[in-house]
Amino acid sequence: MLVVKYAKSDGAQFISHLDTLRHLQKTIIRSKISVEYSKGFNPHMLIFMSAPIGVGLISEAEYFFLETSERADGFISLFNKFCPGGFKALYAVEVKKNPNLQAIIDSAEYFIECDITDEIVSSVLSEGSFIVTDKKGVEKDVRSRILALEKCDNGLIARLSFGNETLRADVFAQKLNERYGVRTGTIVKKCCYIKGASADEYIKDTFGV
Amino acid sequence: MPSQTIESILKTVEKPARYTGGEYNAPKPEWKKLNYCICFPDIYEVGMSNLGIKIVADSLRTVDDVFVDFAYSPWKDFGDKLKESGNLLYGLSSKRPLKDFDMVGFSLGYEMSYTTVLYMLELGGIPLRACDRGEEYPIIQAGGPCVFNPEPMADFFDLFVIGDGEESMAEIAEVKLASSSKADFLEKVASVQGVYVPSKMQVKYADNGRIDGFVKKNEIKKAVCRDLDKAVFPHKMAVGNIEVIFDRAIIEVMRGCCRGCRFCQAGYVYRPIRMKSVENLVSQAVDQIESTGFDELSLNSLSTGDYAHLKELLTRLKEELPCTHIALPSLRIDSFDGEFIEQSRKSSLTFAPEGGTQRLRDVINKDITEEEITRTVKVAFDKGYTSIKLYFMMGLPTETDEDLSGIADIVYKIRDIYSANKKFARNLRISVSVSTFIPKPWTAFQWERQITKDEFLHKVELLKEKLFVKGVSFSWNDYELSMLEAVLARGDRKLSAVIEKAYKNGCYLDGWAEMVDFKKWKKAFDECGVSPDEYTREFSEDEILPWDYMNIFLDKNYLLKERHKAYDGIVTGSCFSGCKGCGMQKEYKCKLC
Repeated sequence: MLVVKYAKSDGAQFISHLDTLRHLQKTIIRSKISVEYSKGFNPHMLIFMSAPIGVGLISEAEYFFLETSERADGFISLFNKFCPGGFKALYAVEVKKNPNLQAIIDSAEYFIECDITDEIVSSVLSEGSFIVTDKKGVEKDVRSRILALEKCDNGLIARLSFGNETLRADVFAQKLNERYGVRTGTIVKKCCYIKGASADEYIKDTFGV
Repeated sequence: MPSQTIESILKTVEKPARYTGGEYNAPKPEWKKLNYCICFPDIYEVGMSNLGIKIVADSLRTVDDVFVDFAYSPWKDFGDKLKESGNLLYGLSSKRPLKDFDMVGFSLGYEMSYTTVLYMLELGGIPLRACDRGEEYPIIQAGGPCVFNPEPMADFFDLFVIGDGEESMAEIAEVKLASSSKADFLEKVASVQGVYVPSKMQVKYADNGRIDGFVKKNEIKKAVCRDLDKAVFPHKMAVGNIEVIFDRAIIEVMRGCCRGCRFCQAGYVYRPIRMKSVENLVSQAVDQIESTGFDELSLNSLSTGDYAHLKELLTRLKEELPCTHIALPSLRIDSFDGEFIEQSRKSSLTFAPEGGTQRLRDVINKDITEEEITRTVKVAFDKGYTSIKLYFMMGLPTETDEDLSGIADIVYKIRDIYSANKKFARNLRISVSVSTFIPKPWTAFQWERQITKDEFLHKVELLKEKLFVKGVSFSWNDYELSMLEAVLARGDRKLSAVIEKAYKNGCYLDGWAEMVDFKKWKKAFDECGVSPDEYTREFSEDEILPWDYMNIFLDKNYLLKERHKAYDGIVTGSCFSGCKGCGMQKEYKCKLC
């Protein structure tokens, strides 16, 4: 059983969550990696992904769990040989059981290319509320989902809630633009966290063989 | 300079992965001596499912120095944004605008895609009419099922390729590589079998506005691939970025159909019948599955149940690809096999009796009996099927109200069979879909008229009443759409102006119910002074038909004989019961096993 970390970029960031699942499955079929299927009337591959990321966001930290007997090293090279362009397996760890990635990953760190200033960063952090409007037009205070902000060279490193309660980085960036006039560019999801620890380490320590 | 980058536009549109390219197995971006962009005038999900354009791409790739790219029609959102921002529609792999290619080829699969061709040309920065395009613009070409009467689109294309693309496309590319100018190319390419250069043919009209004759230098003959087993077939097919309509691997088991249904254009124009060998098909299937990762394989043809070695093929495929689900898309009722029902997991069966009574089925040469229908349905119900889909036509030549009532009788009979064996008759679902008969070129019914709107309304009312039964759903098409399809199918060159006007009035993606606007089409006809009735009327047997100039190895006299037999209710039967002498046999051999 493996937990695999992979990246989505170079166009693949525009592939939706469900289509991504289809591509992961096809990649595994093409690579002939042995994998378990459910035993029901319509068997499906036992693969479970981390929570969906917004369409259009580049990511260097997506995860899936796969019920397979393949070893970590062999898996990465096979996956990368047979995956579509823009996908890349970065890291795999052998685990004892399905860690339920969707439930345990609780925050993610993003790089947001922008011209934000230190003043704006402290202003966002010092204010008690941060109101965004969702697709249905409902206003919501998501201040509690902004966990950390730090200005860097040509942008911002933002740690935002992810999983059960999510603040989409593109929604956050757009609000920065509307509210403070920050001009934003490329957004990249850099890493995921579980209970304050990096997801890679947490999974290895808690579930690793 | 565009005001917005494609990258930023992609973030604002529905399903952006339609426009990013980079599919698994898609061509790598290159730029060579001859750059060919294959366009499909419908959205990504439809175009990516098309096998024909993949075969054409493979044919082109056999020539050195040729790069092949693909483009599909954008949906409205992306198309609007391209226009607003000043970006041009591009080849998905190279990201180069259409106007930069040396050749752009469209697949014309159905008449309602005609305006979308113009939409794509305009978005790609290319003038619509061939006569407005100088050396700086690509050669614009079309192929596919609609080019068996390409006349309505004649003004927009430099050339058409009629028939099989396996060999002709490579030949055309060779000619292009060896040509010095557009004029030089068109001169040379006109002698390639399958090629039709509309600017090199003049259509003469009589005073009454009807065709009086054709003036042309070259004979225009259909391209025919003699041996499909030796022909190109894609080893690797691109896997769609998003889920496409036919999200599965495809092999073509045979081309042509031996049934000779008198209304069916595909059944006539894809002759001769050529079956592929089991050996070759198995190897192509394994190739497909291994290179794509699909878990489903579709055995395509016009009538897969007629493939001579179907049992052997299915057995071999089960051995070689044990995890792959096999789909047989076009089974005729009488070739339906109980054994296959058992293998299949689906719960719904589809049949197309087309006519409601034996009399009408004899007229259209669909030699299915009611006994065959009931027997097959019985087998299916015993195997646990609970849902039946039935396809019929209305407005067929000689059709009466009695024939329409026959549709309902078949439905009642199927219900009775079901309830005789099962306790719960309410579990049964029957969906009846009745489309309007459209007379098509190169069929025994090419001279027939299309029914009027009043007749149409009467027939729909009658069916609605008869099929208002629990568990039965009845669906039909819009009259206007069928009428438009009939006009474009049997039209002549005068329609180019109408199509252009319709496009200018805002028509494109007309195949989509939410997009088509018949009022805009009506306005276009009025503005051009063209009456649709001229094209939906009965053509007289001695008039020159718009497509009479081409030779597709089908005798007009044979079609005429078939028409007369239809009116006499005489069945011709299938090619299995001996050659019927349609004309094909003079030049080509059918391969029936």
